[in-house]
Amino acid sequence: MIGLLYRELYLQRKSITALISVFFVFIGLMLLVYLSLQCGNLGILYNAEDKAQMTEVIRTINTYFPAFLIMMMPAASFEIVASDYRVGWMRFQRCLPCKPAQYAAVKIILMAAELLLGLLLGLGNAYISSLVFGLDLDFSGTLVLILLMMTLCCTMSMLSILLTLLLRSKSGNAAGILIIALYVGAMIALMLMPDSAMEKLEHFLNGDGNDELTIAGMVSRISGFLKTLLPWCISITAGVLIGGFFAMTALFKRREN
Amino acid sequence: MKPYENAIEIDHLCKSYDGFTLDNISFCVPKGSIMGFIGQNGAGKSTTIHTILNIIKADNGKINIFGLDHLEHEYEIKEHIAAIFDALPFHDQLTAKQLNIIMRGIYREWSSETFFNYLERMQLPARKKFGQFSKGMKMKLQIAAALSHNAKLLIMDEATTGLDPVVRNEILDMFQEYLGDENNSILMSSHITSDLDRIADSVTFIHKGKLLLSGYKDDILETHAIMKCTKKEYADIDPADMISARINDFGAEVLVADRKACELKYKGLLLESTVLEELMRYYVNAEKKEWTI
Repeated sequence: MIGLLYRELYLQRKSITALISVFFVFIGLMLLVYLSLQCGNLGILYNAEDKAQMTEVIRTINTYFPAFLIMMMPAASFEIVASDYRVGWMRFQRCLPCKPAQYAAVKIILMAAELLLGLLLGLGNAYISSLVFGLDLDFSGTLVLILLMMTLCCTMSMLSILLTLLLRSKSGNAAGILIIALYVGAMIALMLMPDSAMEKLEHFLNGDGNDELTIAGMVSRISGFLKTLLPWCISITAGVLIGGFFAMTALFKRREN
Repeated sequence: MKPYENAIEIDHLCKSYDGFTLDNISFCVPKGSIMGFIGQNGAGKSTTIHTILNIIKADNGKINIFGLDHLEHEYEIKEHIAAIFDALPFHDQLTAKQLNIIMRGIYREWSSETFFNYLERMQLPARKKFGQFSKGMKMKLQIAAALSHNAKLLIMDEATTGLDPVVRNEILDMFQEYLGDENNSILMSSHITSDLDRIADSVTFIHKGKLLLSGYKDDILETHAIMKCTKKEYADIDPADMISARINDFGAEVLVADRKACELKYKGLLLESTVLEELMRYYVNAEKKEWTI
């Protein structure tokens, strides 16, 4: 099994390296934008109030977007599965003395390790961002949002891998289409929300009844709501990983037609 | 492993697809021998091999490998089997060095020393990516990997197809060396019958999913013969004595399965030895009985 783990890690190394690089480059760019706002050319363009709001926006984006990015590391697995079918590895691995559960375990272990790394990097980034930007960090709220992203990324990655295995897809296109379809579906659902539901959402986001919605206010309201989801995030992620293990084992057990 | 007589025993193997049926295939690969598995494209060679390796599921039949049921003892058996296919099943960005690490973590008896010795012998670079290998290099790499974990059985599916004669001969020499250990066996499917003429101890011939011949190669070639005759003489030959006949303007060339009996029955007719390729051509046309070039 160690050989399989090494193989999977080696084949994913480029995707993992690329995502980690983009993670740090993005943070670096956001910091440069922040510095420019505080004491550079961008600061000249905005008044104090706008600067404060821009700082809050940058901090919010810098806290959550890199975390979302880094937690897409497990999604690289579905492309590996597709290329395994292309090169004939899937047929060859049936000739090896390794059980289907071992193949599945390797993918799950790596996925869990990548999610944990993403979680640690995400939380570390959120903490450092709050120090750099000089703003208070709502640790539990941040933790919940990042855990929520972890759950979402884990679920999407798992669905992609299972779909690629189910269809014995050599291109991974089916999984890619699924991800795009989920995003587009979510956007369409938001756009088609009835007005009454939109009003409720606005009321929820603007809980203190003020006319003006602020980023800080919205994040605070969302964080408060999402804190209730904290135990669910961890359970769902664990459930996806465990369920995914059994599903993958069953799919690896299938023989060719 | 307990002692066994045959490396592979296949008994009444059946597998059906739309438009093709592997029909009641039974043969054995004796321990310490190399069996050539021959047939045209689409005859069922790969289907049989994939069933042996449990890549596909048989509809009926029993397969034993090393005297053990190939499903009940699947993973124990696979420690001692090496499969070689017509294409390298590893990603292009891997190198031999990485392959060694991967295989060392999979096979209990993997020997890195043996693997790198084979690489050196075959002049294969350890740090070059597989994507930059030629077809011959890829095949040699597969063989190096196959011979590095103390496998008792090599199963090859069209492994020498597309290779130049020099590389093919090198590979066949390695197989003969491998068979120096009488515990080792090879099942080799191919339609390049000249390779099997050179190296195979026994032969199994499959055509349209049916087994036509199986046995020791020398015995088969000794008992079969091509009988040359004129058209008049051909008319006197009993159809039950012939497999098929190639008709030309001057007469006929008839493949017979019992050389000695035909020598006594058709005195005066010329009987010539045959080779596997010719044997295949005559058997493939056995349904028609008569055929032309």
